[in-house]
Amino acid sequence: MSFYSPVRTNAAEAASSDKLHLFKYVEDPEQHTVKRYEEHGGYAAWKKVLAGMKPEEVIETVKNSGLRGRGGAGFPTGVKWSFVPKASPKPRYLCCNADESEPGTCKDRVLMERDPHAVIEGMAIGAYAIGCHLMFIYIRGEFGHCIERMEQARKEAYEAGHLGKNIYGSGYDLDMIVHTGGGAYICGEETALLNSLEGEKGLSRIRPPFPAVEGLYACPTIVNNVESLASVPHIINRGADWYRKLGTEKSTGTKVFSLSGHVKQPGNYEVELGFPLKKLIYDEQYGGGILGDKKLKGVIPGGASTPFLKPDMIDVGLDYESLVEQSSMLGSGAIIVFHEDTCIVWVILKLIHFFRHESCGKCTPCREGTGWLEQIIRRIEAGEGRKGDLETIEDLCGNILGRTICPLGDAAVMPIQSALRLWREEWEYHIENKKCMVKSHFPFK
Amino acid sequence: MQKTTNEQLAEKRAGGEVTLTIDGQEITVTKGTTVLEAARKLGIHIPTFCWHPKVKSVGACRMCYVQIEKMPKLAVSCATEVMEGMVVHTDSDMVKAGRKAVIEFILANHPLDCPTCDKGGECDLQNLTFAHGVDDSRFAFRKMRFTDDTVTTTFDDVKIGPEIVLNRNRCILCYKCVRANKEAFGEYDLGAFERGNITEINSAPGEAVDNPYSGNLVEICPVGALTNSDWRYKIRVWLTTTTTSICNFTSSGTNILFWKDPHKNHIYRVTSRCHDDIDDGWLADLTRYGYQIVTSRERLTKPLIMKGGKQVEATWDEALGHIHKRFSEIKEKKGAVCISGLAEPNLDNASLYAFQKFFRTVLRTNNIDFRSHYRYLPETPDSMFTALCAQPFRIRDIDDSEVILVFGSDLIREHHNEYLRIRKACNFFGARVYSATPYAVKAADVATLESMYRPGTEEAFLNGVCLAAVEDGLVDARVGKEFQGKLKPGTAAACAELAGVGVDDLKLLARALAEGKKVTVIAGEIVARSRARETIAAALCNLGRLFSLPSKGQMAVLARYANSVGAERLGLVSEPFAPVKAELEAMYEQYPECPARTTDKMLALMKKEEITAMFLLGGNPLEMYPDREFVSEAISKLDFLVACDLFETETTQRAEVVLPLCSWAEYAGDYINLEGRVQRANKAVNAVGEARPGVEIMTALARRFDRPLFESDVHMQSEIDRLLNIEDVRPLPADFVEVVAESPEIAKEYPYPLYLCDDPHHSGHLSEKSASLAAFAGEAYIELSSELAGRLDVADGSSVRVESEIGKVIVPVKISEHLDSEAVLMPRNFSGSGVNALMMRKKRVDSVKITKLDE
Repeated sequence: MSFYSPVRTNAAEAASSDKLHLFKYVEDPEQHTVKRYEEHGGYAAWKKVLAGMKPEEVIETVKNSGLRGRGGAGFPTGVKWSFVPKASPKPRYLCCNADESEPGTCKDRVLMERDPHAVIEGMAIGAYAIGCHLMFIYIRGEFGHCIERMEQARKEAYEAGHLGKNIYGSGYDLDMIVHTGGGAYICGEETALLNSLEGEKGLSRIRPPFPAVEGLYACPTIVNNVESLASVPHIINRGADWYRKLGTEKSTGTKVFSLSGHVKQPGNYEVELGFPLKKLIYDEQYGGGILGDKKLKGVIPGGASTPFLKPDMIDVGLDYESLVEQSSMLGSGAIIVFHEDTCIVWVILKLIHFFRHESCGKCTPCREGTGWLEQIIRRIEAGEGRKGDLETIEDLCGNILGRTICPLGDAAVMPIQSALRLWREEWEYHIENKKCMVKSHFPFK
Repeated sequence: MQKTTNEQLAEKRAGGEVTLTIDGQEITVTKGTTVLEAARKLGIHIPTFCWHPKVKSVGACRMCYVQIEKMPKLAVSCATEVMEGMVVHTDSDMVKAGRKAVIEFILANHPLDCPTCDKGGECDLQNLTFAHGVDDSRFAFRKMRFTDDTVTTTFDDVKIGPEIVLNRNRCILCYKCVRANKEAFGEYDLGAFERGNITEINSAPGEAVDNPYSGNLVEICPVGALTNSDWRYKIRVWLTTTTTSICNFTSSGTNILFWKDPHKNHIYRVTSRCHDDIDDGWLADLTRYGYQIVTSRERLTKPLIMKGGKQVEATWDEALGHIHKRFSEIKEKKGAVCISGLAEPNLDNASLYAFQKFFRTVLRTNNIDFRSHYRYLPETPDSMFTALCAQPFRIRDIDDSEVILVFGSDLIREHHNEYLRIRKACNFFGARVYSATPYAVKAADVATLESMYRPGTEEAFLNGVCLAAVEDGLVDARVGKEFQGKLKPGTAAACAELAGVGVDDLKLLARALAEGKKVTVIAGEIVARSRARETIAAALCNLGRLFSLPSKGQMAVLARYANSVGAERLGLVSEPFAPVKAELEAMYEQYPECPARTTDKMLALMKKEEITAMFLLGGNPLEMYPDREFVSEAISKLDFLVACDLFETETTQRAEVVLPLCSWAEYAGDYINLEGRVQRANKAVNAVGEARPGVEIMTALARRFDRPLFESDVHMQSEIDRLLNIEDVRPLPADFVEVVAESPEIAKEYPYPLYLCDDPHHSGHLSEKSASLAAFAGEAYIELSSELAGRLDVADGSSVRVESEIGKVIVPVKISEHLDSEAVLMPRNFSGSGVNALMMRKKRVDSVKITKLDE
């Protein structure tokens, strides 16, 4: 059924820090109850907003804070909220995207399980900012425990008067629905999520029209990530200026990074944006270094769809701009580390298999291309690679990149292109010698 | 070139003009047009798979790429709206490479079925591969194949409906079928399952794809994934030629193409011809598969004469001579007043006119009619009901209507084409649809409000809407006051109570009609077949007058059958409309002076043996007219009966002379649709056996009487034109009419209101002879709600005895997807079912009781 994820966090550090705020109470076993949440200052931001802030003020505050979408795209949240047309007579909807499925990412899960009210409060403030009276949270179907906790939190929020009619006597009504997905990575893509929420098949929609203008039921809709929304109450409470001082100039605030792979201490770590990647992997307090003290081979910095970093590229701060300079992306902040005994072809096979499996199948390049790519790479990995395979792979990748309805196609091919660029000798070795170049033992020796 | 629905929408929004350049040519279009549509206007045809002019674009196939300057990535032209100053290249190297890639991707797993695939020769994939694809494939893996319990080979052909065969391997996942099914037809029996490259299009679990529009899915499929059983393996498309024609089963005048082999005199299939103002390219299955009656082996091929109790084959000479002899005898002995004629309203103008002229100038009688499916018609030609049937109506104007009221009409059984149009108006143009019927209808799935009034309380409902408007101050107060006194009961609440609906429903509808800037009101068969049609018509006229409908929209009782409008306008009624009668009197030396009788009156007189002879040009009143016993008795008392038809029926079996009639595909004819539009159906094949068109039969018969009807074809056409050129303006009442609403009681012994209707796949008595249509529905049934079935403890398919006051039949049960009250439906299209035995001509609401067979 549902199980509680016993993942390591740096909650202790956050508890005593003035800057870290998402993980402050995340190790408190009662934090998910409304009582404890309120004791820790919860719902103060929501009360403050309803007591006297205009929706435009809320949007301005979040804009000024520089908060960027934490789901992977990094789009400024306040700017996204301002896209909702003011003059539209249609109802507005806010949807929290809790379909966390990017391989390696498990940060939203922790927030939902252990601090669900933070998410609800953030959603509420966002809903108020765009004039929404019915908000949804779309939780991935496999997250049984999160769903239980969110539904429980929702019930408590209603009972305590934080949701419902005429909240705090302000005259504002707000309802919340917890919706469960059916198990599809593609439903983390906002238009497919909206289709799924409407009861349709989770296929992506072409944009334009953008969800902010025509989203759920063709009404203006804002879709935000769990972590983005959980950050909002802190911004309201402590001000945009405080938030802007955290992180870097263009990447403000803190982020939770999910560190996994061949590290001694995998876990979720909240750090300021701009935090050195090397430190996160090697420092005692965080990753603790490579498993078995082996040499590092490569890092996926932001989830399965981001290009790789080689060991000489990891002297980089974890923020949006710095990683782009290294030809990669911050993405969802899932850092996957692998050591010298990992076969790159095998890694790519796992990734392309994932994307092929999760492709929604609507547009031709992604649907057919990922399948074809998987077949070729599987053949190479099994020792049956042929001359010309790499050229074919590169050509197919070129036919998929930028040619699809949604970024899943791009996500599928960018790691492949990156791996071919950075480890081409390994691929060629694999094809010529019909075996891995490294002494790789799956998975944990 | 078809106009797309998106272009229609852009025109409506009138957001200004945009000028852009495509391949060096400048063009100015309305804002909201897509790049693809703009290119089409320039004659540049950008290749597509998943684009369709009448369905929302999804940008799924990625074949329509274009390169737009200043945009780094290729753009999908089907979904990109034009912008001022855009410079588009539809054939640059980047675009060419992109298209090649898409074709390569599609061909990767596509089976090389071309030699055995029905679509070969008209396949989008074949054509676009030749035009834009690669010669060779780099795909060096085993192609993916669908297999499951029923399919064990790579030749995956699954019958997913009575007509449709699915081959999942060939599907290129353009999703046009599921999108059209859902958007255009509102059906969900076909869906896409799984995701990614194992997505399969298939029928919904446990269901067959058998909706009334399923044939369109085959036409819309760009490859051979969905194919028709009736075309399967019969002929290659390049060996056929086409003939343009018009559907003969519905009144919309849907434009069709016959596909035939010119050497074999055989029709292989029917496809659409897309008339933007009539059918948008969609055909009802009835239209698509109905042609099979033409090629049926059961067609009558020779005249028959009853000799010694048996019908024996004869020559035309003998048959016509016999008819001449008998008619002359009867006319001499008792006068022309005892001869009557009924023509079927699906015949062409020439046949109907010749029939009318024969009776009026040769036999010299007014006992003619074409409405042999109705009961109890109003006697006078200027009745309000007849006027409402002749009101101007344009299908195209449904698109522009803000408010559409569908009153007393089960569109899916009567007006398949108009249902699709209303769906389009609702889905694309934001029209609000209001449905008011005595039982739950499928067409109400797009309705903002679905009202179900008690059976037989149509006027109460309409009066209630008018009174609600007056009471809520939605109309001019003076007008309201003058009007209120004429209605009984006199308050909206009382009407609501009588009609069994909530008064809020009436108020909502009143507001919609009052505030709507363009309104369409459609009344249908449930009104037309009602004994009280004149009262209902009065109520409708009042409604139209109160809400100023003629000036801000259209209101009509929609005609049915391929040429009822033609029959009416060519004077094929006992008492024609005054201007028509005047013209006929002018054209004919002596217009007959005998009294005019409608069908019902004629049948009653036959019973009394005052009418002793009848000539039927098509039609099967024994099985189609309500109250079978009444008709049977009337016909049996006839001294002389001539029946012309395509097939043997219970009526022809009783005829002294049977003449084989041509189908509409076997000769050229003009037909007038419900809009009054005259359209020509061309000859596709030669007549079967010795069958002849109605016009030839009548003119040949007239010659026997030494009174030829026409000097020449030109002469005939000129007379027809004289009648058609009469401005068919039927005035509605100049003032509000008094309407007293009835409250019919349903006998406790026979508690379930019965509506005799057409099966959605059938019309009239001929359609069952189409093998494909019979596969959808081949025998009569009683359709009831699942709740009622539960109460009666009957299962789907089990037989029950259905009894009314005057008759009983035994039929199987069909559990309805839509019905949710006690009303039951029975189709009357199936010979031998005898369902018309249950109907009572003079009752307002027919009702029956149902018992399980073993009781």
